[in-house]
Amino acid sequence: MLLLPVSASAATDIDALAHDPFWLKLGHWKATLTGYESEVDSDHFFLATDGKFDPRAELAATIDGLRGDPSVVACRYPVRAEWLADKLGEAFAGLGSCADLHEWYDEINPHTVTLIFPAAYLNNPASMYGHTLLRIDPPGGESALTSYAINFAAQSTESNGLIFAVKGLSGMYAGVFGVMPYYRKVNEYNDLENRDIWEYRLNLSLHETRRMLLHLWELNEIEFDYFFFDENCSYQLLSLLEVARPSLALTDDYTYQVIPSDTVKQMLLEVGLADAPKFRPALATRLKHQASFLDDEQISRSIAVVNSEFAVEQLTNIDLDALENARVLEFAYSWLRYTHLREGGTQQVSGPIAFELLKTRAAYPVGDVFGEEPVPDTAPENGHGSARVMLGVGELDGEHFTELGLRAAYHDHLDPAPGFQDGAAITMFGLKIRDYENGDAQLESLDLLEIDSLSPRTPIFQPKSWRLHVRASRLPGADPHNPLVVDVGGALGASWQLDDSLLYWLHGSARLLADDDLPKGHFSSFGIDAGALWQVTARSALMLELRADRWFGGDELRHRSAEFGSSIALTDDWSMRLTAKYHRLDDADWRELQLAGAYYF
Amino acid sequence: MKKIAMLAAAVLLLSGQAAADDSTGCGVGSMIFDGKSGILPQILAVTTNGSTGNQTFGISSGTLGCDSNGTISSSAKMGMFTGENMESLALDMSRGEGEALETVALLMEIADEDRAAFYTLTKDNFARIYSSADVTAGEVLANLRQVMAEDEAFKSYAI
Repeated sequence: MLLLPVSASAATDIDALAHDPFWLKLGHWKATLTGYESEVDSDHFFLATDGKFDPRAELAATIDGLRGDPSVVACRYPVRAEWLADKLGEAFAGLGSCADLHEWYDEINPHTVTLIFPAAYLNNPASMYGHTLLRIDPPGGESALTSYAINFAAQSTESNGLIFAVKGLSGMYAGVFGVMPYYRKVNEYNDLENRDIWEYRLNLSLHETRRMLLHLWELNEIEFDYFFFDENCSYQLLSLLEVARPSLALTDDYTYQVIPSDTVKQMLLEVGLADAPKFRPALATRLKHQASFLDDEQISRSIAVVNSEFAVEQLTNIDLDALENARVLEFAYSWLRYTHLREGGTQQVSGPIAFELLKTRAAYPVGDVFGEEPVPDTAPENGHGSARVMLGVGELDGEHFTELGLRAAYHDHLDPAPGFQDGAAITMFGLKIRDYENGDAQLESLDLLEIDSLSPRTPIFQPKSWRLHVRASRLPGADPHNPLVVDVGGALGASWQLDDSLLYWLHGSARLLADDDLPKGHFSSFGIDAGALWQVTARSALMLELRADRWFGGDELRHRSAEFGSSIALTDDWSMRLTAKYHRLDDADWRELQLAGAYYF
Repeated sequence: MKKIAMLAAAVLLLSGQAAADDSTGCGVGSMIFDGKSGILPQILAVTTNGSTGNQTFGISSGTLGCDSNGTISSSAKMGMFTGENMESLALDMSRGEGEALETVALLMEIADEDRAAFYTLTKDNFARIYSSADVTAGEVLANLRQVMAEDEAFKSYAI
C-alpha cells in the first residue's frame, strides 16, 4: 500500500523542479525580496548547508542523497523521494525497506481526515480565538477516540502565563507537530478546559491523506518558530493540507493574522466537507443540559453530596422512578468531575464519592437518561468574519461627523450573534477615525485590547462577570477636539440571563485616563455599570448601558451616562447599527448619535 | 492559563504511565479521579496552545511508556485507554452505554452482534469490575477479563 508505481516523466530540468510550487511546499519555502526562505527553523531538516534559503541546492542535495544513500534519504523524505522518482523517471531503491515509517504509518492506519475545532469556553473570551487540529481515522469509522490526532503547538514548560503570552506572540518558542491518541485531546479540551468540540470530516481522497501523512513524517521533530498571530497551529495545518492537495494555496490568503475560525471556514470552503459536522459538547455544556432536567432541590443536593455534606444515599428517593434517580446520580457524578478538575480535587476525597455514585447508578436498569445535548444553531465557522470595517455618520452635540472604523478581530455585543458566545466580546487592534464637518479627520480611538466576559450566573455555575480595556481615545466630552488620552480600565461583578435571550449585569468599575494635557496628568474613576443585552432575534439585538462614576484628579467630577445600541444583521457579513449616547459630567452634558454599516471579512 | 491546563493534562497522563509494572502495558496504574489539576484562573490569558513536551511522534519509538519494541500491542492499547479514561469508562459501564465503553468493545474486538450483551454484562457486574474507590486500570481490566471468562457468551474472547 505504501509504494507507488514509478512513471517515466520528461521533466529533468533541475531549475524548473526547484521552483515547482510543490517542491516549495515540501520545503516550506516562501518567496522573499531576495529569494526564498523556509519557515522551517531546524537545520537538520535540510540536506544542503544553505537549504533554508536555497530550494535548488536542497533539490540537488536530495537527488544526490537518493542516488547515493537511498534507504536513508528516501525513508526520511518519502514524499520528496516519490515526487522526484516521478519527475525524473528514476526508481530509487530503499522506499520499500523503511521499517520505522511503515510501522508508524500502519499504526495510524489512515483512511480519512477530520478537522477538529475546539471552540470557545466559559469565561475565557480569548479562547474564542480557537484552536485547530486534525484527526486521522482508520477505515471503519468507529474508533474516533483511539484515532490519532495531529497537533501543532509551541514547546514550552513555562508556567507564568504572561511570559508564555509574550514569548508566544514574538516567536520565541519552537512549534512542532505531535501525534497522540484523540482521546487525550478530548479529555483536555472537553473536560479540562470545557470547550465544545466541532468535528468536520474533510473531503480528502485516500491518496491525498497518504501524501499528507508521509509529509508529516518528514516533519518529525522539525521545528517552526511559533508566532501566536500568524505562524500558529492553524497556519501549519494549512501548510499540511497544501501538500495533501497541491492545487490548494491556502497560506497565501493571510498577511497579518491567522485566526483559527477563519481557517476553518477556508478549509471547509476549499477542501470541502465529506459529512455533516459533529458536535462534542464540553463537560460544562453537558452539565447545563443535565441540570435542565432537575429541579433546584435536586441540584443543590447533588452539589452537597459532591461537597461531602450529604451521603450518596440521600440523593436518591424510592418514591421517584428509576429515570429520575439515575439522572440525579449522573448529574452529581458529572458535577464531581467538573469541580475536581476545576478546583484540583484529590483521589482520596473524590474517588470514594465517585465510586458510591456509580455503584448506585449501575443498579438502575436505565441506559441513556438525558438524551443528546442540543447542538447550537450556528456552528462557529458560520459566524461573521473576524475583521471588520465600519462606516458611520453621526453627530456629537450638533456637530456632524463621519466615522471610519477598522478592527482586526473579533466580535462585540452588537455584531451578528450567531456562532459566538453569549456575553463575550473581544476587540483586538481597533481603530476609529472621525471627520467632523468643521475640521480635519482625526484619530478618535485606538483599541489595543477590549474584553468583555459577561458570563451569567446559573444554579450550577457562578462565574465572575468582568470587563477589561486598554486603549487610547478622546477624553469624554462635548468638544470633539478633546485630547487623546490613555484609557485603561476594568469592571468586575455579576451577570444573569433570563431565558436565553436577555443578559443583564452589574459591575463595580475602575478606570484610569492619563495624558499630560489633563489637570493633574490623569483622572482615576470609580463607579458602577449596569446594563442589559437583549437578543431580540438571532439577527438583531438591543443594548442599554448605564454608568455612574466619580472622577478624581484635580477636581472631583460626577459622571453619569446612558448608552443605547441597536443592531441588525443584514446578511452573515453585513450589519447595521444605531447608537445613541447621553453623558453628563458635572454641569456639562452631551449627546452623540450614530448610524453605521459594518462589513466583516 | 492554557499552560496550567497543559501541565495538568501532562500530570494526568504521566500519573498513569508511571507504574507500568503489569504485562498488559502502560497506564495500568491509574485510578479513578487520579489526576491532579490546577485551578484555572479567570485572568486574561492569550492562549498560545502550548505543550509541555512529549510532542513527538512517540508511537514507533515507544516513548509513550509502552512496550519497548516500538509497536503498541492491543493489550497495551487497552491499558493506555483505560488508564487515561477511567472516569468516562466508569460512567459508561454504570449506564451500560457510551463512547468510552464502545471503544473498549472495539479494542477487545467484540463482534457487533455481541456488543449489546457486552454492555449489559459490564453494567450488571459494575461493582465487580470497578471494585473499589481506588481500583487501578490494571485491576479494572483484570476484573473485566474475569467477568467475561465466567460468562458463556464471552469466555471465548481472548484478551
